[in-house]
Amino acid sequence: MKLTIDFFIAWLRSLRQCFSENRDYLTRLDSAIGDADHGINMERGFSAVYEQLEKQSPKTVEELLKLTAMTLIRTVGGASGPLYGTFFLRASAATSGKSELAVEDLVTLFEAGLGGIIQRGKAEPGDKTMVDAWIPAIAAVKACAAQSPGDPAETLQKAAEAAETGMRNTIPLQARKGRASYLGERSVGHQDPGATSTFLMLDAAARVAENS
Amino acid sequence: MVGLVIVSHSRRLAEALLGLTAQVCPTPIPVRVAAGAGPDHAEIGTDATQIVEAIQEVYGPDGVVVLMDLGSAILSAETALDLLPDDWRKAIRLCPAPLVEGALSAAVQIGSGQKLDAVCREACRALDAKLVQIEPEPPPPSVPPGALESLFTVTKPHGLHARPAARLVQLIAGFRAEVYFRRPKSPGSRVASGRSLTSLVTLGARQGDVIAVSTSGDDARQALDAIRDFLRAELAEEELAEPSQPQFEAGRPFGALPLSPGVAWGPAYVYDPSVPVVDESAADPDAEWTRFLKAVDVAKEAIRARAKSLAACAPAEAEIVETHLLTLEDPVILSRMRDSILASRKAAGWAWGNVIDEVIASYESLEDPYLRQRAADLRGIRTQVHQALTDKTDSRDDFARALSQPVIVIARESSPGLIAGLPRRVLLGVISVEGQPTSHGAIIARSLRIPAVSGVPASFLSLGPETVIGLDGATGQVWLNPDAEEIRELGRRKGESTTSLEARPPGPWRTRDGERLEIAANAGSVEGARVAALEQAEAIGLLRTEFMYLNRLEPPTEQEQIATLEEIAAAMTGRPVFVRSLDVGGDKPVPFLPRLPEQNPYLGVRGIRLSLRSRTVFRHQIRAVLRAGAENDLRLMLPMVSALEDLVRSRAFIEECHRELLEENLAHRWPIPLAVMIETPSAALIAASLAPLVDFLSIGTNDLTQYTLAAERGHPQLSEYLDSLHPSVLQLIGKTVEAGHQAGKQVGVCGEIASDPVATPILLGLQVDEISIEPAAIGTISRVVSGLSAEKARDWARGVLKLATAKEVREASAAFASAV
Repeated sequence: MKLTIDFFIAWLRSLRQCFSENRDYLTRLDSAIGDADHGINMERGFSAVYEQLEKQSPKTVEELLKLTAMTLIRTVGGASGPLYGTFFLRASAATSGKSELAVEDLVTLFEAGLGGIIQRGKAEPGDKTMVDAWIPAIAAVKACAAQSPGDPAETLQKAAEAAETGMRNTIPLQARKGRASYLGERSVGHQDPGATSTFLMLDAAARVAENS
Repeated sequence: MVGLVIVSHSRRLAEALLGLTAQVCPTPIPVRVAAGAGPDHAEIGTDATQIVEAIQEVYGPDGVVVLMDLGSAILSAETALDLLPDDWRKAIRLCPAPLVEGALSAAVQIGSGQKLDAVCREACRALDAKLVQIEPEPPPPSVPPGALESLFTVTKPHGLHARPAARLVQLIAGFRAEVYFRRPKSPGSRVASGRSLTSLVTLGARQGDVIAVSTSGDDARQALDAIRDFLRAELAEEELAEPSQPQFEAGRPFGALPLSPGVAWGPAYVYDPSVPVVDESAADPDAEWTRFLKAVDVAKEAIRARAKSLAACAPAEAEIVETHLLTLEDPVILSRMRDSILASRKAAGWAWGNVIDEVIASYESLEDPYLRQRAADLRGIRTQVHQALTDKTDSRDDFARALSQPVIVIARESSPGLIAGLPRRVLLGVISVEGQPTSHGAIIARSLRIPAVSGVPASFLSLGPETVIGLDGATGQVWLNPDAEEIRELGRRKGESTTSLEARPPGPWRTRDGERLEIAANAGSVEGARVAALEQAEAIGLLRTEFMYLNRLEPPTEQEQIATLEEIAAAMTGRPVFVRSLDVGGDKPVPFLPRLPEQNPYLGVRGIRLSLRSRTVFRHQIRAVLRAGAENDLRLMLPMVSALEDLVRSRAFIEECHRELLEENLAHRWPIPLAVMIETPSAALIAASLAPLVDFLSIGTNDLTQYTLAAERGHPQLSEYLDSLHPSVLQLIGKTVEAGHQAGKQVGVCGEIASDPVATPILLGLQVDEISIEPAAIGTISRVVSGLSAEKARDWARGVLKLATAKEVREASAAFASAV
C-alpha cells in the first residue's frame, strides 16, 4: 500500500466513526480527571472533518491536512482543538509538495505535528498528556524508517502499538498540564484522555493501511 | 483606540461581561466577544477562528488586548495569533489578567484613550483589589516633592466607589500630570495612583473620610482644578447625578472658542506628545550638563528651522517663534539648571522639568491674560528640550511623515510650534483643548489661514482616526462625524468664506496672455475627491489609491475598488481622474504584500517594483480601473518607474488584463490613457524613451527631489537640502517637459512644489502643461496664474536654470513676481 492522498482521506474519514464509537469511553476517562468533554469534542471535530470532505476534495495531502486543521480549530471547542489543529497545520506544512509519502516522510510529518503540540501546550514528556503517546509512536516510526524499504502498513501498526503502551503508561503519572493538573495527586491512577485519543487516531490509521 | 477581545468558554458568560463593562465605560469602545463552540457557539468551548475574526474586527493602529478565561481559551488565542499576519502580532497582547476584573479595568483604560501596554499593565493589576484584602499590600507609589495638594472630605454615603472612581480615572487620563490620592488622617493608608481604577477603589475612602489629592507635572494646576470640580459635584451629593453624557451629539454642532476663521472638515488626528519619564539623579553631573547643553542646541536648531520656514509667508510670526530662542538663552534659567545638575546632581530631564515648570507657573499666575498666554509657548519648549534629551526625533516630524492625507489636528494646545511646524498640505484645521485668541498659536493660524478653534473637552484627545470632524473657525462650531447634510452645509460655508476672502476667477484658468495652465487636484480618498470638485479642480491629477489598501488584512476586492473609483468619478462629474497604481513600500507596509526587510526602503521594492512582484494584487487593481473606466474618464498612472523595462512590462501586463476582460466579456475602457510618473533622475533623463510609450508624463517632485539631492524626505536634519526649487531638480523638470513635448505628449507636475506660489512662474516658464495640487491651494495658485504672462515667464525661466542654489532661485522668483 502507498501513503497517497487516498490513504489520508480514508483515514480521516474513518475517524468520525472511531470517535463516535469511543465517545463515551473518552468522556468517562475525562470525567475522572478533566471536564468530561473530550469524547464529545473529538466526535464533533471529526464529524465536521467528514462533512468537509463530503463537500470539498483537496488536491494534495498538504491541502487535506490544512483543511483538517482549520476544521478542528473551528469546531472542537476544548483544548484538543488548538492542539490537534496545530498538529495538522504543522504536519500539512511538512508534506508540502509531496504527492506520496515514504516512511521517512511520516517521521517528518509526525515530528512537525508533535512540535506544534508541544509548542502550543508547553507539555513535557511525563506530564500525562497526549505527548506521552506521540513520543513512543514516533520512535517506532523512526525505527521502521531505518530499515529499508520500510513498509507503511507495518510502520503504522508499530506506531499504534507504541502509542498504546505510552497511553497505558500515563496511568501512574500525575497530571501537570490542563484541567487534570488541578487534581494534583488525585490524577494518579487514571489514564489520560488525550493520550487515548492519540492512540485511537494512530490505531485507526493502522487499520486503514492494513485494509487498503 | 485599543481594541478589546474577550475569549471565554461560555458565550453567556462573555456577553454578561460585556454588559458589566458597558456600565463602567460611558463611551463605546471597540470590543468583541469570541466565546463558545459548535454551531451557534452555544456549547462550552473556544474557537480559534472566531477569535481571529474578533481580532480582525477591532484591529487598528492602536492594537488589540485579548483577555481569556482559562485552559483552551489560552491555547485557542495563541492559535489565533498563528493564523494572523506576522506583523499584526506585535500589536496584539494576550493579557494574563483575571477575566472579569481585567475586562472592567481594560474597558476603563481603553475608554480613556490609554495605549496598548498601559491597558494591559493596568488590567493585570486588576487582581490587586482582592490581593490587598488577603495578602500584604504592594509597595505604594510615592507623591513627588513639590506637588500641588488639596484636601477633600467625602460626603457621599457610598464613598469613593467603583463608578465615580472610574470617572475620575477617565478625567485624570485627560491630563499629563501625575495624580495621587491618599487618606492623610489614616496612618498606614496607601498612596493611590489616579490612573489606576483598582488603586483608587482600594483606597477605601468612605463617607466622612478626608482624602488628599496631589498633582505634579506641567498641567498639575489644571488637573487639580478639574478634579476639584468633579469631587465637589459628585462626592458631595447623594447619588442623584446621572453618569455624564458625552458633551455633544452627532447632528448638533459643539460650541467652541473661535481662534482663526475658515471652514474645514476631514479626518481627526490627535497630536499628543508625551513628556518622557526621567530619572531623578545624575551619575556624572559634568556629562549630564554637557548633555543638557547639547539638547538645548538641538531644540534651538529646530526652532530656527521653524522660524525660517515661516519667514517667507508670515514674517511677524517667524519673529514670535524666534523669541522662543531667548527662553533657551535666558541666564536665570541656565544658572538654575547649572545649580540643579552640577550642585544637586539631578538628572538633566528632571532638572529641566522642575526649572521650566517654575517659570511656567510664574507666567500662569500673572494678571495680564496676554502674558499668561506665554505659558503655552513655554510648555512647547519644555517638550522640545525633553525630546532632545531623550534623543527622540520631534514627534511632529514622524507625525507629518505618517500622514498620507490632510487632517484636522486635535491637540491639547494650539502652540505656535505645532501649527508652524506642520506642512500646510497636511493641516486642514486645528482643534485644541486649551488656547486663547491672543495666543501665538492663534495668531499664526490666522496669518496662515488655517481654521482653528479651542476649548473642546479633553475627551476629544481620545478620538480615533475614523472620526470625521467639521469646524467653522469663524463661529467656533465643531461637528463630530457630520452627515451628508452637514457636509453640504460646511461646503456652502466654505464656498462663502473662500469667495468672500479671496475672489478668484472660475476655471479653466489662463495666464494674462491667454495661455492655459491646467490646474488639477491631488486626492487620496472619496472625501478628498469631493473637496477637489468643490474647489473646481479641472481634474484629479493624482489619485493616491493607498487609502483602499492600508489598515486591512486582505486586499480590497475588484468590486470594492470599482465601487470606490466610480464614487470618485461621480464626485468629479466627468472630469478626468488619474488613478495612480498602488504606491506602497518604503515607509508604508501592507500586511498582505509580504516584503523583505530593507536597509533603505526608499531605494527598495516600492511603487511599480512592488506591483510587478505582487501580480494578484496588481491584476485586481488594473482590472478595477479598466472596468470602472467603462463609463468614466479614468486614466492609469504608474509610480516609481526608473527603467524602461518596468514600463514595458507594465504595459504588457495591462494589455493582458484587457485581454482577460475581453474574454470574460466585461465592459471596460480600452485603450486606457496611460501616464508615467517621473520621480527618479533616471526617468527624467530617459524621458524621451519613455514618452512614446505613454500618453502623459507626470513629474512627482517630492521623490524626484529626494533622489536628486540624496536627502531623505522628512529627515529632520536635512530640510535645508530638500528644496524642490533646487536648480538640479528644475533642470530635470525642464528636460522632461522638452522630451514629452517632442513626442507630442503633455507633461504635468504633482508634488508639493506645484502648490507653492513661488514655484508657479518657474513651472509656467518651463512650459509645464498641468499642475496637480492640494485642493486648498487652488484659490491661491489660480490667482497667481491669472496674473502671470507665459511669454515673459518662459524667457525668464531660461536664466533661472543657470542658477546654482535653491536660495537664488527663490530670490529670483520673488523678484520676478514683484516685477509683475
